[in-house]
Amino acid sequence: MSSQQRLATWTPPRAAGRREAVRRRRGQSYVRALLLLPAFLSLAFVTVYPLGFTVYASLTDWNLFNYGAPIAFVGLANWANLWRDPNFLIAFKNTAVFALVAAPLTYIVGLTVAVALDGATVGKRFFRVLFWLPLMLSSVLVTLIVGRMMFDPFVGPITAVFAALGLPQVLWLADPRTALATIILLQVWWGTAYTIMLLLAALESLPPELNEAARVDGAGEWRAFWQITFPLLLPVSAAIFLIQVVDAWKVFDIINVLTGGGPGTATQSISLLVYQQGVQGGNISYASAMAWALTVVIALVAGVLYQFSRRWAQ
Amino acid sequence: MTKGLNRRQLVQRAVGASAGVLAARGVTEAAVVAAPRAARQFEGTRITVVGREVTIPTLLELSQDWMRETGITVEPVVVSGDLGRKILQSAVTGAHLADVHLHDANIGADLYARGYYLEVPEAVKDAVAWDDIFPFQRDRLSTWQGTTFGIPYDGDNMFNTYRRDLMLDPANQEEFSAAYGYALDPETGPKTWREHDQYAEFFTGRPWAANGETGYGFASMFKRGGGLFWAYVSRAAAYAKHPSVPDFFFALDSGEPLINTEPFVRALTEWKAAMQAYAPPGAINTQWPENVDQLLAGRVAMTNYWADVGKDAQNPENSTVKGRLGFHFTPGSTEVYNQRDRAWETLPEVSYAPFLGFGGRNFAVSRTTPQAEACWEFVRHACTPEMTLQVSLTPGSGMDPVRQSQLSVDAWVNSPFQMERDEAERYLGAIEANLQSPNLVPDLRLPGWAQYQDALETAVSLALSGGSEPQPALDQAALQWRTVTDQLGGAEKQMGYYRDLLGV
Repeated sequence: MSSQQRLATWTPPRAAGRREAVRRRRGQSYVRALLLLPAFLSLAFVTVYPLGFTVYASLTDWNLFNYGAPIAFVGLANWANLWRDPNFLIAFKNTAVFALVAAPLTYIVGLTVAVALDGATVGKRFFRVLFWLPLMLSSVLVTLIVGRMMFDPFVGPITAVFAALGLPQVLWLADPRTALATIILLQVWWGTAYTIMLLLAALESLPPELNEAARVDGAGEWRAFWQITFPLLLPVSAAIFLIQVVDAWKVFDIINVLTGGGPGTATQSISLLVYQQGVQGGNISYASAMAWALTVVIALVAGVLYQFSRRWAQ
Repeated sequence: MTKGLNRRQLVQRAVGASAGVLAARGVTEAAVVAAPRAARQFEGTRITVVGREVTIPTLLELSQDWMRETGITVEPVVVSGDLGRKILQSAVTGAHLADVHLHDANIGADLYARGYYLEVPEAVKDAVAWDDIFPFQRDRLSTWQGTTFGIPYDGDNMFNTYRRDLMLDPANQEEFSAAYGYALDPETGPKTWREHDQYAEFFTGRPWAANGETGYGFASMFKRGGGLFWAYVSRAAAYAKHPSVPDFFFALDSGEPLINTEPFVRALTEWKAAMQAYAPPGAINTQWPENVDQLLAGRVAMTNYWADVGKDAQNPENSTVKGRLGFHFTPGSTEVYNQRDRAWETLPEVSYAPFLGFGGRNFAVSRTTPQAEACWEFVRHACTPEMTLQVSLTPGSGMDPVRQSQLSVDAWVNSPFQMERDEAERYLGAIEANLQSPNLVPDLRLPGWAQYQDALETAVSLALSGGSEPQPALDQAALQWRTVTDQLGGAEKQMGYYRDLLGV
């Protein structure tokens, strides 16, 4: 080999080391990919595939009870029908009202109780357990036992209080004007426990020096809360609020057990409608379109809230 | 009902009560004993059975000797939640839920049309005294396109249950006659819906209730998803089911929904007015358990319900009305709409149209079973008149009479229910009259029936809550019914099934 040839094939020692490092890195990333493969496959199988399948279903006329008939592609017909379906529009309105009222109210009540508990000097542990109790109850138990009993027109304690005060009897769940509000009230009671738990943990982790310094500088309780404590709680508050809003848009069990969507359509929610159409009625295609419409709405709402929460957190 | 007995003891009493009754009613010995089989022929065979939570354990408790004799072990499949949906899901996906099913009859179309069950062999029919079963359940609700897939086990039908003691009360008699110009009838209760609403008006707001509080006229299932469909249809049937016209839910020739026609609108209008005036406060959220509780608690004078209420009333721990009840047809009407002529007709006598709401339950053998022979062996044992009677006499089983042989007054008097003889006579008489009626209205046993049910329930609930007038609400429901029919293969296909159900 001539010196020129040798020069052509020669590589400096540093470049060879770089190539080796690249090869090693590549090898490592293959190993990583291999290790991630089971998780990716299971995610694809239990999440991506069903989601993709429901998108496909929403574009067909698939009905479980149309025996022997081939499944036809209908394009966006199911999606177009959503906006002409009075039941869907009512369910959309009810769900939006539920989410817009229940989530903020749950947060406000939760924050109030958490702050009060954080500052309590007596019975803190007792009240903490008391307020967390609803968290340990299943939704069906909450709705059936608490919801039904509390608002029972004959034996409910609320009815008794109204009667004792000489107020007229209110048919909480039986009157279309009050049914949704009653369900919101129950959701607030139930959801508050979760909010209290997280906010109380956040409050207890705040450095006390900041509040003490504010007091030394002459700030009152109220000002110290709004200017020190509340801003520090904003990151966790944003997360809680986001979860509450997303949960509220998916409301199903409370309504299903308490009113079944009635009286009339006064408490009909989108998730309940999806269940009635898809699970009970076998109308998979239309229920899929509804479920995806709900998912899109939730994603939009969550996106907007996320942007806000980032600003709050900053 | 006897206090402090466990299920085993209740079952033993039920066995005792049914002994000897069947032979006296002409059920053949062969049928009771079931078909001959070789001892321990199925040694080591295990089969599974799914059904209502109390019924299956009761049945298995009664089958211990049979299991020892045949060598077949029967295991219950416990399903939490809505059993009907679980069975439907398994049928739709072709999954194997259990070898033998006790399924709701009203989802029979969705199951039978798929060929999810095996055809019932003639030998099994013979072994279970097929002719002892009431005709409509036997010939229509257990078949699909002429093939028998199920064996009726529960004969759901709806009738009026009323406080006979209140109607016997001389003071009530006198006051009612003076107010309405005719007598309260303790033997039949109200015969028409007009009378029903007058009875209800009379008993509303008076302090006759069990605890001295104000009583109400009637309870009904007004809640969406809580039985509303059946309660409303059983009321509408009086006006909408003409004795000589089979069309009821649909016009048979066109498939056009009839639920927004005059009789249905009239029934809804009257029902809403009665609910607002004579039902307990918050009635719009009354579903099936509360509906029964209102009567048992002595709060309402009447309820139009399934036969279960007569059995539930016998437990003095939960009921204040044992021995005080009367039973008769769901109120009828002399004015009935002829759906073919599109005109009201005035009939010389009250026309009753008993509604077979829900349709009861049938035993069937899954096509997915690898043990068909053992399954049929079990079914021919479980569905004998003797076993059917014993199960129906066990409190909590939820099985109502579906056979002529189950209507023995002696059996019911001596059963754990300990029914008083005259109440048992009235109770069984009402069931027999219902199930033998030539003007029966079967439930909507069509493929996709849940979608039809939901559309009608939503519309009726909307009208009851004041969110819409009855006519536009029912028009909307009819529109949805047309859509559902189109989605399920069109009117011709669905009406073929409907005609098959009606036997026309």
